[in-house]
Order: sequence, then structure tokens, then C-alpha cells
Amino acid sequence: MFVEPALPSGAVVHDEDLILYRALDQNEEPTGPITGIEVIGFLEFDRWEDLPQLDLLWQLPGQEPLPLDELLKRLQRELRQQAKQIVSPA
Amino acid sequence: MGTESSQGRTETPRERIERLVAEGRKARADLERALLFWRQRLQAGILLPTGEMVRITLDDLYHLLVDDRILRKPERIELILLSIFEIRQARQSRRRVLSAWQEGERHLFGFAILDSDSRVRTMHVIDERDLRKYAKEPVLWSRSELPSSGMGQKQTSSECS
Repeated sequence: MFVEPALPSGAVVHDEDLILYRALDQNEEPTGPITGIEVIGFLEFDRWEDLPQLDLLWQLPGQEPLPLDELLKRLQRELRQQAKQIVSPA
Repeated sequence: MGTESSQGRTETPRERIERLVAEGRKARADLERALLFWRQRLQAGILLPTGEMVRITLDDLYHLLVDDRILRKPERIELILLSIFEIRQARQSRRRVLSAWQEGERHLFGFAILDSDSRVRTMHVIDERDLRKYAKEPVLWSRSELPSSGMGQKQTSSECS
């Protein structure tokens, strides 16, 4: 999940499954503002308490701003539903 | 923040990269170079130092290119997979490949996540100190000579379980 408008970004490890993206500086180091988050194994992820505590609200196009954990839980429900439909199309 | 396309469905990495190139936010030349590198060097698979062949589909490639340090230098995909010093057990039957290599004067570190079917799920260039965050994951394989990785004790095993 990425912030728009997109900035050139690199990875900073938060923990085993969580990667934060930060804007790259001139030396190609991710020292700038947070530009996104990647959850490895997102469909199975349940360690919501381990998400980075960011003083930011996140917003998907057409939806209301939410804390990161609430938005990711909502997104996970939708993706699980999509995955279920792919496995067993109606 | 952009994860969904204008149709409200989740935007795939491929759709995102192509949109950002079309918007001029990522260099088309970088993407074309990465696609060429994939066709020439990655598409047929890469043989790890352990003897395992890993695969990178075109969709996988787009996922890797989300990291601009990979997009700008796609040869790092191959370097990360060939410069492994350790493989660790990650969650859900995934494995984490840890790598170290040199580019000129710079010592670089990275990791890749391999799925159980040997597909490369994700990959990043990371800071050396971030390697410590994987210290709790069980070691499956390691080179006998470790680089200065900050991972703690020296490993001597060369078996891949």
C-alpha cells in the first residue's frame, strides 16, 4: 500500500513480515518520509498490534481516512473474499 | 494513497508500475531495462548456490520493481539470489534468503522471500543493521564464511534442509 503521489522509495525492515517504504535520498538511502507499507503474507497476517505506530490516517480512493490497522483489516477481508471467489467461482 | 484502481478493485503491482510510468513518476527506460533483463537473465529461472532453481514470473518481477532500488538496478535481483550467505525459515513455509554483495566501494545487503514452490515472492535492498531483525528465524542453510552481517554468531553449517 503506497502513498500518492509516489516518490522513489526503498525498504526499511520493521519486523519479519513488515516492510516500511521511505523516500530515497540522493545517496539512495531510505531516509525520507514514509511512502508505503508491505505486509509479507498479507492474507494470513494477524499481528495487528505489531504494525508500526504511525501518526497518520490512511485513505483509499473513494473511502474514508482510517488508522492503518483498520484500513488493512478491511483490505484483507476484501482480498480474502476475492481469493475465495477465484478458488471457487460461483 | 493508492492501492485501488479507479474501478475500486485492488491495483496489482504491474498496474501500479505501468500507471506510474504513464504518469511520468517512474522512468520508462528503467522499466524497459528491467523487462529486458528479466527476459535475458531471469525468465528461465535462477540457480541458487544451494542448487535450487527459483522462478520469477513476469508478475513477480513487477512486484520486485515496486522497490526503486531494484527498479533502478534490476541486476540486483540476480545479485541477491546469487550472493546468498544464509537462508532462514520464515512464516507459512516461506524461506528468507539473506544476501550480501559489493557494488564498487559499497557493501550492500538484501533479502528475498521464497515461496514453498520456489517462486520469488518479494525482494528488497536493506540496511545491514536490519539483518538483526531476522535473528529469531531458524537458520536452514548458511555459507561457512559469513560476511560482517551483524547477525550474531558465526555459522558453520552448509546444509540446506
